[in-house]
Amino acid sequence: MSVYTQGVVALMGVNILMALSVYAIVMADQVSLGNAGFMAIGAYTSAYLSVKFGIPIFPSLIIGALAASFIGILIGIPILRLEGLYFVMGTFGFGEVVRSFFMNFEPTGGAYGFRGPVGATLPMIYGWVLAFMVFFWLLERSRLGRSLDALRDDAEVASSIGLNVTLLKLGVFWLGSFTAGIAGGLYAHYMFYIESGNFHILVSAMAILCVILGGMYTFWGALLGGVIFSILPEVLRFMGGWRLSVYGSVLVLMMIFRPSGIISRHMVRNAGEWVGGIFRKASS
Amino acid sequence: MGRKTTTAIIVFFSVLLCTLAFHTASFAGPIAGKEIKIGGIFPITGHGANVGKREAIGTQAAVDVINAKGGVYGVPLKLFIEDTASNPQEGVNALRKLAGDHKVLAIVGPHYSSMGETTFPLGNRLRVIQIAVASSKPGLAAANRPYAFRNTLTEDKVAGGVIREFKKRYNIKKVAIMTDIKDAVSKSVGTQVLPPAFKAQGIEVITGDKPVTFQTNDTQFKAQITKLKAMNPDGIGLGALGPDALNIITEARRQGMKQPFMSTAPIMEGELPEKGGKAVEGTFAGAYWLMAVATGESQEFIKAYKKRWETMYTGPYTEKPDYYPVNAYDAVFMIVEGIKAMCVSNKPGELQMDRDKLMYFMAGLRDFKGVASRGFNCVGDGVKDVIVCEIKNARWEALR
Amino acid sequence: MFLQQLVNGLTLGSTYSLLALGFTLVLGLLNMLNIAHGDVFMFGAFLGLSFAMLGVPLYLALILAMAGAGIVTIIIERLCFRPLRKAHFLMPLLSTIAFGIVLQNVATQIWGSEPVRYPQATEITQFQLGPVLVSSIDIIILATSLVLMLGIDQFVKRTSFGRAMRATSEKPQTASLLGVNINWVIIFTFFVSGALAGVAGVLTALVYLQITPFIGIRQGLIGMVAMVIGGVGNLRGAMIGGLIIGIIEVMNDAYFTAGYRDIILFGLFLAFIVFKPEGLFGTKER
Repeated sequence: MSVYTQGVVALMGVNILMALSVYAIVMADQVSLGNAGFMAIGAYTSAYLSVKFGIPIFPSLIIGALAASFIGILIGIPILRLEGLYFVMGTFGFGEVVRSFFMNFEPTGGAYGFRGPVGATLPMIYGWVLAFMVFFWLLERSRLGRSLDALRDDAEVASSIGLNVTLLKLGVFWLGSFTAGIAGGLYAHYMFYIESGNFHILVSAMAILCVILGGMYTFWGALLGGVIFSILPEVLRFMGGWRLSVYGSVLVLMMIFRPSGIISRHMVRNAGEWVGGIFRKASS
Repeated sequence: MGRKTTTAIIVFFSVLLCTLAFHTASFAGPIAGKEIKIGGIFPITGHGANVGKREAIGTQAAVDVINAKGGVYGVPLKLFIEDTASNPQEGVNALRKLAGDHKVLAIVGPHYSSMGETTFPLGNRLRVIQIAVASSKPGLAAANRPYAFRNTLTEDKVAGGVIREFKKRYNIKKVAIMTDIKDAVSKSVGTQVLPPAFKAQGIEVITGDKPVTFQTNDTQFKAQITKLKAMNPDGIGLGALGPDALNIITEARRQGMKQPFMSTAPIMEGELPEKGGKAVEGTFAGAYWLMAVATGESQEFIKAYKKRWETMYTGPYTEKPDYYPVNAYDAVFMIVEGIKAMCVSNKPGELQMDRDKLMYFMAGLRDFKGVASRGFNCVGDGVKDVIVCEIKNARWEALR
Repeated sequence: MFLQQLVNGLTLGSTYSLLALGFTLVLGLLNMLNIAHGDVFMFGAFLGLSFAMLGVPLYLALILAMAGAGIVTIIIERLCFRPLRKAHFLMPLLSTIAFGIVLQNVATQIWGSEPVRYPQATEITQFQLGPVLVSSIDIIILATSLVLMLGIDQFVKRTSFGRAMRATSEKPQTASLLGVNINWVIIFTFFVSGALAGVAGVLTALVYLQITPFIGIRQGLIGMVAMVIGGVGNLRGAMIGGLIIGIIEVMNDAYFTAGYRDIILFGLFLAFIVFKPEGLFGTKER
């Protein structure tokens, strides 16, 4: 794999994790526009631990993600009461507060940024991606996963059959912020430097776009979306100055013509039979 | 000797001479291959699109000049430009593409300090030099030895000279400082460079360690100017980029302030004299190149730049070169000088050795004769002569 | 100095009010955010600039810029809202984010990424009113904003079209049954919202003197904050919210440091969303 391809694939892994972090929250029928804030907390915490205390990368990633998810719970409790658009605005307000906090917070560099974290490699990033994918795969098949499905379909019915809706929502919010925290830590240790400007609202928005376009009823959608959005800017390099216009236009058009996402719910439900069908054909 | 023997001897020596001539011809040039590849990493889209394009043109212009004179020992240079899109993720990929796919010997760029923060350490791991053409955030090259170089002056080298002239001209005894707190370079000028530089020349800093603050690209400065006016300083020191400086000074004049302003290099970007009119006359700053500089190399650069501009990123915003493309232009010539001095072979199998040779060359380059560059210092930052300037007659004019 | 800063805050705030009004019109009507609104503001400023540079007198350039910005917003409705009515409710919001990227890039390609100067068509005169210094530009901005805001407020309250707008926003099906052409109401609302952003853009550019393709991002977000503080869907709330935000920002810069600005503003935003989502003046029933 060429040095260039390695780089694209590595950052793709981080983007996939961010998409998964959004997907987790989508599983409870909420969309968070503030996951860049959790990414920032994970990034700064783990970077600070690695650089100032020499803590090895694996524990510092975990601690960073735990810090992010802890803040996630604190913020989640008030925000999860909100409905629809207000929840979205709340999460985006949170993301902006985090970003401007880090712009001012001198111990992690403030406006000068924070340099020094090293050690994220391609296998490490994909180790995490794989781990999360396995986790989501198991989650979708579990009883918990079915409870979430029910919640998504109709929250009132779900709560009337005894599901603790609040706890479920908080749980996925914790999961989402944890995932984003890991993504942030890996980003910091891969890019060697972070500053508050790396965690602006567009990062959160792109993660959501991955999920919605890849297909939001299964974690495979987040994966597919992450892949597409990492490759698209590279593929469009030849367009020179108009690159970003084409990129934005492609997104707008994709949303018009395939708003349900590439991998639809139908495909997911029938995936099992479809795969089985292939095996049957192969053996006959 | 018989006739047969003589003939044999003549034939033998002829064949020998021809064979030798043939072999010598293939050893004639020290550079292998059909072209020498160098890379450029600039913001062609995004926030820095205008300046990135100018830097690309400047780099290509240098390549044009060198190739017109026969290249390096007959082998032409080829420049690959990759866009950072003013975005660190893409910047990292652009660097990898240049180093890994195009396999360049050296890279000119990047522009922004925050881009350098992430591409410099990567360059150290890929072991290829980058000669940044802007980026004056203090300590950046020093933290990224040995492959990071910045062909630009850090602001602390400019401040002293400017302040000396500023104090003399306006009889300054006390100043107030107004600074950007979002852009790293401006912030360091306003908070780390100017205060001690003022104090070192016996000037009192009224704002102490709480300067009047704003954020890059703010749309209005009324609050800050009102505050500044109330302090009644003799002069104002700015930590700002050009466009913000323009608005700050304009607002100050609107609110009736008559005191002069000064800063270092960043305010010389953004056409302050042309856009500011009477309001900005008398402002002081420091740079290392002006279009008015009349040296032969400078004129050759301007000519080459203008010629290349006609076929590359043509437009009103790239027509006039400022000192960033000059840095890029000089950087290419530095690379070529390094190729010659260090006997770079350009053989594919010796790519890493060639890259390292260039790195060692740059690390020791002290007496380069460029348009506006003299080489690098021990931490990889550029060495240049400072020109103290003031705005007079709607343009920057050098003092003395 | 305090009084002067207060006046500074009002001037700044009135541009925020115009933006907040635009947001609230669309949000109140369709329960959806147009995130590209800030970029429409930027585009309006540039359109005004282009017309002014062609020699068009300033007031005419302003009107043309308003129209242009309104048209761009109608395009947004066509591409990002109408086709996505049946999709997941957040799709339009995300589509507007993508559209915003396109607007920024187009502006960069046409006008360059570096600040462009607005020709100073009017001379600035300063008036000393007691302890306070007010410039002619300040007066123009305050007056224009006030006139526009009152005009819209009265239009929505008293005209039949205004009634149609309110009906559509509260109960679209009933309104349609009663003969209201929903699509026209929507198009008109979007146009007005865009026009307001365009005016705000031109006015800001007159004070600022320079504009870049990237000024829309932050301005848009702050407009959103003003809208929420005032009360979503509430026109008066948007106006007053904008003024309050302007004053807070100016006071922060005057007495603290510019760095705290966003923390205070977005912290306030978050606090309101969580604890007082109806804002200071109440929201529309939805």
